[in-house]
Amino acid sequence: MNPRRYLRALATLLALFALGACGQKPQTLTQTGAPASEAPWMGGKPAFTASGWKVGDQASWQREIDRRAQAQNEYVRMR
Amino acid sequence: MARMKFICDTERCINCNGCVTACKNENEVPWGVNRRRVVTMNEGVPGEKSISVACMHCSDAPCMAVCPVSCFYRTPEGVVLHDKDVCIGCGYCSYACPFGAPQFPANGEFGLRGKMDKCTFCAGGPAPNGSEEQFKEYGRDRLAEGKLPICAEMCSTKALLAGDGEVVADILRDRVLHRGGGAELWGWGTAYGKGEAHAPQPAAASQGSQS
Repeated sequence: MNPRRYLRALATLLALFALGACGQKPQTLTQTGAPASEAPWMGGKPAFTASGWKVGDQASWQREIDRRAQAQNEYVRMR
Repeated sequence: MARMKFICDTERCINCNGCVTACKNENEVPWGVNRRRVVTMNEGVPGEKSISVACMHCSDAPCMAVCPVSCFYRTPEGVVLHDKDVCIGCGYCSYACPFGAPQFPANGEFGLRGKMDKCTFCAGGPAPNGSEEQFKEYGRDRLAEGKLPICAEMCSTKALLAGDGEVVADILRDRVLHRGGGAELWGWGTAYGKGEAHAPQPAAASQGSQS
């Protein structure tokens, strides 16, 4: 094999290898829509869960949250 | 359905920073990140006012609008949360937020910015309720324990209120009726204009409280 042709072939191979790093990777956003979050009334850590509501019961959770919110009103506590 | 909201009563806030400390402790927030902070206006001037600021869980949140990877979502309870596994730490939300709520932990010697961190209304994040993964990434999930955010629940003067928007508004209305007020209250002019003629009279206020 002609050494010049050999060198040319080698240079082409090297150039192809080096340019391989310039390739595009797919950048499509894989997340579609909002991530799902577990409903709060499904409960958290049992050791820290406040008494006064039943885990899994949305209405009782809402009542407990409203009761705690209303407890911030000292005018109600004084009545 | 509840619509969770914060409000800070500037007539009561005494700049104790208890809310800031409680938040950092409860959620084990890293150094350099403050999910909540107290801002004082006209500091040192008679009549200075302090206000506790964090994410306000906006109904039409600008952070959600500008996020290029849509990592934000709003829960049915009205809490604006984000997915740290999707966040790329670009900082757009930080520029968009009028309250400066998004925080970025600075890690490394070259000031590399980490993923965004902000107040979660003590509602955790997309990870399973009460899980270790959720605590590490987002902090405590007090809502799932039937509790309100720690910053509001431990506020000594009850300046910072949290809960369903209707309940919070009721509490604030009750206060205004009891203490009177109007144009002399801080922020009144910004919200309703300078005209004192429209301010409720103390007499009217006391009548309201009796009814």
